[in-house]
Amino acid sequence: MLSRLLGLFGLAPLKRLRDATARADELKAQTTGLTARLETTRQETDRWKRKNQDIETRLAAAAKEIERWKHKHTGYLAKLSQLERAEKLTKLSREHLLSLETKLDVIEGAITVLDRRTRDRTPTPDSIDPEQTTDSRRE
Amino acid sequence: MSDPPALAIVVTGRNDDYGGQFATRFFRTLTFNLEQLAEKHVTTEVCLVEWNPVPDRPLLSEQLHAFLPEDYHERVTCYVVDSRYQEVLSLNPKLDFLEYIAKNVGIRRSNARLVLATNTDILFSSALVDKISSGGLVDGRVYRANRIDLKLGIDESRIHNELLDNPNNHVPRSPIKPPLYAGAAGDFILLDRETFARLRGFNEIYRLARFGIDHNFLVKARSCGVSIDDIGPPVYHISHTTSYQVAKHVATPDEAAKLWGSKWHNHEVIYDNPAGWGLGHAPVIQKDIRLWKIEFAWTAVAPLVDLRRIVLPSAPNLT
Repeated sequence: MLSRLLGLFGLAPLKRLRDATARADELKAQTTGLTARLETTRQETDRWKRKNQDIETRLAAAAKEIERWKHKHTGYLAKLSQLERAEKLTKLSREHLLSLETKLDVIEGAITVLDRRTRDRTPTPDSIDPEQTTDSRRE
Repeated sequence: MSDPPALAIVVTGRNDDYGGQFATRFFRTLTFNLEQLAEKHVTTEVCLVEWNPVPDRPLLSEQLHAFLPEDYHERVTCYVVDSRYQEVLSLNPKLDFLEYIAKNVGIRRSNARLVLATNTDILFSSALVDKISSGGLVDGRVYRANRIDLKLGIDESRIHNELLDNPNNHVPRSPIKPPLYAGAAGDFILLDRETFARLRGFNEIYRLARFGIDHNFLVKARSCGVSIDDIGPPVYHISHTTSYQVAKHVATPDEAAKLWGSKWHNHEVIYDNPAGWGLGHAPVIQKDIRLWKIEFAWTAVAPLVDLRRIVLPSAPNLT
């Protein structure tokens, strides 16, 4: 009854006023907490955004690096293949060189024995009359 | 017609007193080996090739027949090769004995299933003779044996198995190893006759050295797909002053060149002998029941130089 009467004059009982004030304070405090949390979350979001950007940058760099290594690898593979080919060619060349040396040995041997046979069958200068040699005719 | 013998022993030499008391050493060695083989019932023929016989000296072949017990006479066939072959074939005037062409002469003319190219100072161990007599040796495979050098000064006049098998009489030596089992190969190369013929014997193209021709044969055999194996039991070698292992330390370069020729690429370069290898086209005249003379004929002489027959192991063989 009294509350209704006070209500007619825009007034409220003290208890209700106190309750409302306490409720308002509680909501204010909640708002402050939520504001702080919102700020923290915002900061966290910014941090993650930065981190994400950093990772994206690093990813891009890594991708570039991968590409670079891919090219390098292909280059190395090509070089390795070239080296293997060169090694085979060297081996082959060496074998042919040894074969050629052996053939030269044989040719040299043949020349030596033919030379010896020729010398054995050709009269030595001592057995030729010095009068008949070209040099003595010149004199 | 009797069956061909199981084993042919091909050796070469001449009456030049090589290494001192050559003939005596050879006759004793051969007698010992023949006795061992006879004990194990291995039918054997011996092909002695007397290459470039020394003028004005009795033939080694005749001396051999005089020395050998009569039971063994029919097992020995001697081929005396006209000296002109040495003269016209040699590509090294310092070298007076083309040992491996001489061996080819014997290999080509042997009749046995298995042919052993060996030297006149090589004694067979009893275990080796057991192995040969076992019948377990297969065709198409080169058999090599470890050579054990007997100490210099050993009593050669009384050779017996206990003396040979006694480690106190041995000179240490590295064992032969795969894949080629090389090392003193000239002392023991055992192969069936058909495969020897397919390979056309030892190198007759590089006629500048004795040194390394044996090893070269192993390279050739392997390159042609013929496997090489260690037969297991050893052979024994009577050391003398001209044995390579002894003389290589004391011979002057000139002496070494005369004995063996110079080193060459025998591990890398091989050969393809012509069809007339082993003086196959030479006329042969029988002088005695077991003595044949290989007469000289230019048709039997290979060209002085035939470069296409010097080949690499991987290259296909000429036909």
